[in-house]
Amino acid sequence: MKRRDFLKGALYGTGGTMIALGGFGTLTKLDPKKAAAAEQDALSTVFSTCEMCTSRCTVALKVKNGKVVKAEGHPNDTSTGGSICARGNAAPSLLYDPERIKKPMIRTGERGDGKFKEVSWDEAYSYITEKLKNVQKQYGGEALAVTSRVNPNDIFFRSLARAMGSPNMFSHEATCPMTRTVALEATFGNPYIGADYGNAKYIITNGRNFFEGIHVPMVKGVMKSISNGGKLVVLDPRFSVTAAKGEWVPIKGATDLAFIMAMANVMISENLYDKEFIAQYSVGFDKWVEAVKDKTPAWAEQETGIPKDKIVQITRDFAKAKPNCLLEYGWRTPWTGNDYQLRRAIMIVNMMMGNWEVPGGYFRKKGAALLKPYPELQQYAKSLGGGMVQPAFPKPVKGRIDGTGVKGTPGQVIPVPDGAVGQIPESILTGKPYPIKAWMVYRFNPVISMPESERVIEAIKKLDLMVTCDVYMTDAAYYSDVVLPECTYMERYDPMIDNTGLTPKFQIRQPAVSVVYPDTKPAWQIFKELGEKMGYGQYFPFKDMEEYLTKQLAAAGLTLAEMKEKGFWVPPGMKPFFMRGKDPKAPAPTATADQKIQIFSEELEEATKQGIPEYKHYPQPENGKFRFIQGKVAVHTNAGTHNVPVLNELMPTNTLWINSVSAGKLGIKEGDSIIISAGKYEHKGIAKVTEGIRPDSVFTYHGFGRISPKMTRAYGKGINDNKLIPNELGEIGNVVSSTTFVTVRKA
Amino acid sequence: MVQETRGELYLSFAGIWQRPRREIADHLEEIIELWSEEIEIPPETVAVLSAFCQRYPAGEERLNALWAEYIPLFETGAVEAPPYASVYLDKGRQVLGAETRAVQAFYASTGYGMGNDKQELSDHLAVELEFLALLARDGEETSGETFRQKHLLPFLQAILPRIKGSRRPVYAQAAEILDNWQLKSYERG
Amino acid sequence: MAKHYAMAVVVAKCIGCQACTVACKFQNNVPEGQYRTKTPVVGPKGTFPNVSMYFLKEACQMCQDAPCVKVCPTKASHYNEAGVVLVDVDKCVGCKYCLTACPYDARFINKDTGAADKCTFCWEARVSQGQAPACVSTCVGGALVFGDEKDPNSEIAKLLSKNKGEVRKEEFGTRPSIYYIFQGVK
Repeated sequence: MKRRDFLKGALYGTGGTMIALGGFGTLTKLDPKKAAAAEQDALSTVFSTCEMCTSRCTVALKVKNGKVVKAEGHPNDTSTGGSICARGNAAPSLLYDPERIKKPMIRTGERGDGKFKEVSWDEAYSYITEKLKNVQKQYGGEALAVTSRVNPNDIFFRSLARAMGSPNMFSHEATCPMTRTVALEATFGNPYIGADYGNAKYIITNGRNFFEGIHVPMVKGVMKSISNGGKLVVLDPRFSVTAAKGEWVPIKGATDLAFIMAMANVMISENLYDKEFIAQYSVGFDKWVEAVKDKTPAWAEQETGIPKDKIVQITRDFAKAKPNCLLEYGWRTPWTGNDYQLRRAIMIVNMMMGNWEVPGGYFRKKGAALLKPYPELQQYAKSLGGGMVQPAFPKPVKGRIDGTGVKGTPGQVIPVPDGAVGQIPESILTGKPYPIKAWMVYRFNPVISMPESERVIEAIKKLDLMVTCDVYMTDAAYYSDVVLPECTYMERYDPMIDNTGLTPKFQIRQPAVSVVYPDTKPAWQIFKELGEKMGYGQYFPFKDMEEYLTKQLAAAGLTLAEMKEKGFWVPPGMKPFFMRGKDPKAPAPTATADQKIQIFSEELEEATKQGIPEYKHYPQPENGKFRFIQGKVAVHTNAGTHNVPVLNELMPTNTLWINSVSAGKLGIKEGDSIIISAGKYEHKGIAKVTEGIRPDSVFTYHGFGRISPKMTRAYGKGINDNKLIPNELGEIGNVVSSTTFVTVRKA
Repeated sequence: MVQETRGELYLSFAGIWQRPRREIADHLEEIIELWSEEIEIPPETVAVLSAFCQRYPAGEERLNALWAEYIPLFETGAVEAPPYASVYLDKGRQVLGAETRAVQAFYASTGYGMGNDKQELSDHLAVELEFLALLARDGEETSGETFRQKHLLPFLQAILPRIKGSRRPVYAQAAEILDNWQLKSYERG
Repeated sequence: MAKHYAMAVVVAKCIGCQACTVACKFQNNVPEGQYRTKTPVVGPKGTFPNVSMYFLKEACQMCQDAPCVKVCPTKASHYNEAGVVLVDVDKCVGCKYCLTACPYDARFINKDTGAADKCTFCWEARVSQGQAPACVSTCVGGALVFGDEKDPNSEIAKLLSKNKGEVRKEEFGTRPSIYYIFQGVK
């Protein structure tokens, strides 16, 4: 009976590589002592930091029988009041989703036909290593680009690129708030500026949709302001939830800067601004006066469609509330090529209100360095240290593909840690300034998060190597050569999270349960092991994350044990600190060389010849066309959560909002199937006919219409906005994504 | 059917439902032979399996051919038949449900637990079958039958139609054969 | 004096974010596709650009004169000691009389238990343990206030003394314990 030798051997433990116990070794004989120490049934709580979006709210994970049964807000965190949003609440639904990726995978078919095999981690690392070494040999280390959504594991991910000699490290920021970052850096020397919404008496927001793009502490703040009788004015072509809670001003798209400049014009002509503040704390105001002198409300009415009297009235009322008033600086920002100047102008008008370092105004985030000069605050001035000391990395031979950091060019002001990610597909496809041949993405899905999905896919197909590290078979993963399964935030440690605002605040992310799928790993471990395989072990000089965290915390005089127990740390007894909170003349230095607010920015003058914001008229949609705008919804995160079971159940698809009059002209009724055309690309969708949008605009929620069939719930449902939006590089290299016009017709 | 044969059969199916690996793939012919001898199978089913073996001779190519079917069937994203019992037997359709705990407790009651490398969830189809193979080998007939009735059969009733319906070579036929053995003709065996 | 638990929904502060919807599902193991509470949008009403919109949290209204209790043939639907309307799953025969009787469409047959199901104010797991219901504790907008209406020092009693709390379908005489405060809603 020779034929049964294999199974017999396996069963009785005599067969070749099978382990001695018998069977395939999946099961083992239990140690009787261990068996006795069975799992406890009691409900326990593990404090951690949420990662269902990237706002990093503190959370309390409820664990029963070794399972996370519920996620709640941290009861002791005053910034959230113990709340978390729908996405945070849905965390266990992600954790136990059978659709998560479970093992490393290597592509076996053509890119995009979805055929993969599972491999061991070692095989995956070896495969990546071999491909990267080939790319390095043939094209140089700079042919590798890495991109991630900003997160605490970036330091390890980026070490791989640095070790290879690549300067091409990118965050997702260029698809998100980068123009704001640029404006804040130019004006204040760094972007670490927060807003004290809760104490504001008047808030104006240009498009920032607090109540749908949810950041829990900000929602709490804005709601506190409104509940205390504060005014909220919302300029948005669409009637968002935020607009519903305030006064909706349906501004024409891409004209926000005209409104802001007209505000400044009124403030100057009517003497409504804080002259003493401007004189003491800023430089270059005279150039701003010059820049806005002809930007009258009458002119702005032509641009924005907002009646001039309305502009004047809003400006006067806003100024009356000074300095406890906020002109919101925005979140997802690239609306036009010169969007950074809109963000600059917004901050300049804010500063005209003297709302700097006072309650209800803007403030610098109060890290240790800012607190040290104040004797009474020195006790609170603690900061986290590094978790490791890395040796020097090789200096890249070539500059970055996006020109970041090149003086005298717009690239000069692109933040170095972020870069302009929109350049990657361009470099792959055009070979300019030199080709990218390998792209690794981590927690980033360029196919959905970057404009022109099909062009991004075309670019990926030209690569020698595409690697995705994520929790789902995302659209990027689907087109990758290697897919690395990360475990979720509930199953891992991350480096410390610094969430400093008006006081220092450090948060831990720690595992609530051991990994659900045994072969998934924390990202730090994946990148460390890959680095070691590539021969770059010296750049990962730590044993594990507990050791790393212990070192980080020691610098602040804290222990891992207390962080694990409490979840977060704020200096006990410290009150929110505003530099001008007690004395409006007190020093309130910015991070610039002269410590003043740069109303005129020398740096921008050098980089873009626009040291002071200049208005640029962008075209409005011609008759029959619509401005295509996009936004966030409260139950989903960007391109992240659409396949999470409970959230998908709440909102599986999106629609195209179209004004009832415009829809009537096209014969489109509520619920009709439609085709949205942006010329080169078209997309099917369902119409939502509404009074809540300008007749010249259409709107859809972002992140739907998924391309990867491996995410069953989200696949093919709704409109993928980025399929329709062309990849345009803005004036400072950012990705411009809402100046697209479309036509709509019945399907 | 003697316990020894039952053990081999359980282990053969455990091997099939595991993630593809060389040892199993290379011994596919041997497994098919075992099945044809011990279980009633229509000849056309054996013919499909033999054709697969001929088209993909033992080695890397066969392994990759199995991977191409296994991943969409069981493993990643839009899987056609999630291989975990709790997805079918618990409310919520998620992994690590009450059923997972129940089978784990059953393993423990017979002195077994998941191996140290914890490469799989305890209610994976392959794990349950491997467990039954070990019980058969150990001569634990009563425990085996209790586990089969309480855990395996409800799971098979839910998952086998899906695997058969997938029409994926090797897996659809293996499901049909397992169905014939466990659900249709076990008592006679 | 016996307690009487009640909830106030400050409609102006509700942003429709559905945090409550999801928190409830996990707190109470509500089956896929079923909900004990949901917060649908009302609107936009009006004509561009003069439009308004708000959200209205829906759930069992915890009537003090509850039709569901009245029609239940097995006394599965009942009031507990704190005026909370509950369903005894073991006594429920799934006859659906209560589903028909409820003027608020707040009940459904739970796919897993086969019994009538609805909001319990999280009585068992939270309120009887001194915690607020899951929806109240997670509410991002701060729109939900819960407590003993009969205790004049409770947050809800104070809120209702200063603001008009409306009940849904007052004409049915069901005397709900959920109050909607519309002040500040446009």
